[in-house]
Amino acid sequence: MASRPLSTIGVTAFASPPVSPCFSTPPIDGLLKKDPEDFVVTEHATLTVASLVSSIQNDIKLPTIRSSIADFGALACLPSRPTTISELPPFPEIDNSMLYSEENPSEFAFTTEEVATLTALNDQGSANLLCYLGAPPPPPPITPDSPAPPAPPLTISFAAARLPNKNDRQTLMEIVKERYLFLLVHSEMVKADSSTAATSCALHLTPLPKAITGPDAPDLSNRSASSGFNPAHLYTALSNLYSPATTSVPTHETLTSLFLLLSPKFALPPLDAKPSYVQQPPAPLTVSLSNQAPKQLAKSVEKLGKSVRCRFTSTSIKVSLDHNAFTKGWEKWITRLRRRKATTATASTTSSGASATPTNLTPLCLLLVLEKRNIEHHNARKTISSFLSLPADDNQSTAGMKDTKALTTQYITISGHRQFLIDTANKIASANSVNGYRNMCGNDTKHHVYLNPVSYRPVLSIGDLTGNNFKITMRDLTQGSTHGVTASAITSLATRLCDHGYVNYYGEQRMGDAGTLETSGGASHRIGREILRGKFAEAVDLIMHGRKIITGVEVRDKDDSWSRMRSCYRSGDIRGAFRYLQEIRHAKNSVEFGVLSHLLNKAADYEGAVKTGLQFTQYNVYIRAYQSWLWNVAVGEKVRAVATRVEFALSRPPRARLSPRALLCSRSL
Amino acid sequence: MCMAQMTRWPGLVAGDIVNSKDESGEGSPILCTQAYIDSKKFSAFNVLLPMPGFRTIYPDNDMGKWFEAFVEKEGVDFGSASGGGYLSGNKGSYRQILERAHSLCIESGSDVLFPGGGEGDTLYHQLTFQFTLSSGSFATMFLREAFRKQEGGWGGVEIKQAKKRSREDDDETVASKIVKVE
Repeated sequence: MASRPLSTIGVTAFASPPVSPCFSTPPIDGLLKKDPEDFVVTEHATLTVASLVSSIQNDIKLPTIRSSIADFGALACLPSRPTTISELPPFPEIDNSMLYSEENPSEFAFTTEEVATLTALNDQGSANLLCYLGAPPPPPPITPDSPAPPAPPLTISFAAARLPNKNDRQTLMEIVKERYLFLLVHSEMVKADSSTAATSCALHLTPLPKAITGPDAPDLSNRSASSGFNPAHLYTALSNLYSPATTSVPTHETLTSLFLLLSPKFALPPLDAKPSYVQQPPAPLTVSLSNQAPKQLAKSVEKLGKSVRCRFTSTSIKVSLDHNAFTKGWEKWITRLRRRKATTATASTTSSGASATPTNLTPLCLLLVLEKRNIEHHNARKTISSFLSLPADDNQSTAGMKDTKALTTQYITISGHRQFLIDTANKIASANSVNGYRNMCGNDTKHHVYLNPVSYRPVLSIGDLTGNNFKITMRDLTQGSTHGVTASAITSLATRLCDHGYVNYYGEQRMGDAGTLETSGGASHRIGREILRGKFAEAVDLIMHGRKIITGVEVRDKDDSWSRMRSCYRSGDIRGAFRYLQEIRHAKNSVEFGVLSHLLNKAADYEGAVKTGLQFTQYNVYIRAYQSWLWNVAVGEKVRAVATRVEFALSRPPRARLSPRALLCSRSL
Repeated sequence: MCMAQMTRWPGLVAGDIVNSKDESGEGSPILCTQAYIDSKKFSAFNVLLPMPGFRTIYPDNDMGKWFEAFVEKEGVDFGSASGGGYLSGNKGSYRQILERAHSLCIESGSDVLFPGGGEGDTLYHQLTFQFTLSSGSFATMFLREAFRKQEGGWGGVEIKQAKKRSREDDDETVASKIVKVE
């Protein structure tokens, strides 16, 4: 059973959405969060059942998902007891009858091979495409010229006697692009005996069947006597590039399969030929390499595709497959199909006048409820990535960001191929089954990140969020000189807030605390402004200045470690600052870490530090903070212009207080 | 009555950008013409202001001129749609000026003060607000509006927190500062 440190406040008689567990807030000294621990907001992401159901109805027409979402309810609520493995809904099975539209058979725009491939891939669990394709076309006429069945995939192994350089790589890629659109690459690092301390490695390239070379692929029949797939050509080319040296059988240390998606264009295998994407490689030819080999090889492999990730140490290399690689490839393909379908639908509408139903090919994601407390949004994503061993945190999608200093609950989707999602759901459920919700932050009582798998649905995006439900407790209230507030005052206050509305300012958490650079640090909007001005060096300085500063002391700086790092940076010692940063716990997830890492490699490349040292989402946070600040200034101007002309029906504080310069952190301009 | 007040709010002037979304969610930001104002199709709750970016437009009135002047003074460049990559986040958007709380429930302990209760002279020292705001709206700004001195909004009554009384003089330092009693 979950050992949750939170008490539950019952739902009031008011007809509001169901409420997830909340906890009482300690007394707060004013509305400003002077002490982050004292300001606790309970938020709930509100996704209406209607929006979920309608999106599912429109997209994939799967009654199983619809019912599971409907059963789940409207709000992202962490149930008091974690979902067990047996309670997890099964991944929706592909029913071929769902792939066709019985209502409007003329909609069909795909070939039987395309439908068959989707089905086959889903059966394999290597994709999670649930498709509403339309009715199948009539079978193609059998002609004597039908192509022969494709040759089975072969595996080519070659030993790397020398490391591929840039020219080699280009030659290799040209061969690959010319003939084979998919390659399965096995990268294998083998560790030789410790006496020589040498390292061996081998690469295996397995071209996929000819059947999946595309309709736009070059016709190879003129170049080869065979059907176009001639592994000997590839082998010869590779052998010329890398001549084998030794043949000793090594001890396998790691073996990872890599899919290199070289082109989204390909045709599909026939119905009876399920493509086999993973082949067992033969015993590799190996060669001893210098100690520098893993690092250089990792770099070479990494250049081959963005989906390949290499981590290396002095003696070993770990190569991992981006779980999204396959899905992303399919998404490209789907985009092409969808475009083609839209074109066909438009054409048929124009010709026949019939309205075409939009076609959706929507990969499903794992839908989870995320509850976090005292964790910043991006840190929570990184925590989840690390706990679930996700290749990158862009596997996760949410409908919005929640406050850091609060107990918040929201939906989150994790993308990937089908089996990966099922495994992930089981992994979370297993972790939660031991002792209640597993805190992904470790045994930290002040911070937690809980996940609970719920169902499968298409990916969440910003537009899916309809609103947020808040629950905030305020204590020690006075009305004028009286301690306490009368009920009638509260009623009139509530009426005003519900009927008259209020000015929809962005909160200061969007851009940082109010005050000058000295008192509140490098607020996000200041950083965004310098970026938009093209002054990247100033932007980096602001980032390194730190942001959460109240009364001159950085909030998170418990032992002066951050200030030591910052003063070291200000003195120009980037290496020393980075050394300090490495000693700070959890600092690897900080923006400072990304910026300093880049500056260490490329000195004084401030633009690169901002554009590549920062994650794209974090970069956007800065830009949007500045845009929000600008909006706040503008709306202050707008309200002031209105208020000076007529009696303002809304609250109308004195002009000086309505000025955004007074309201927000613009005093340091 | 309140809605009547809001629809008469002259914050809506010709050239403003308004949200033309209907109940089904269809519609996009459009420029409000005098004909729209005369037809009373839009209220003050429809008025939008741009978060400037390379895809947004400015209002076609004094506010738009203010935007142009301010952005020029700031010296920022939002790039263009063809910039791609890291510039893609600079496209900008629109945001409505006014927001209302939905499903507001105020309670103190076991007493539900709003809606339903809220009469009598009992003094409450602790309030729990539960409410729903549309996405992108800030609860801190909601509270800031709730705990500010009002002029006629709710009878000139102010609610503030006791511990803030000794610190009323530096009210311009923070956004969420409670307005002092006058």
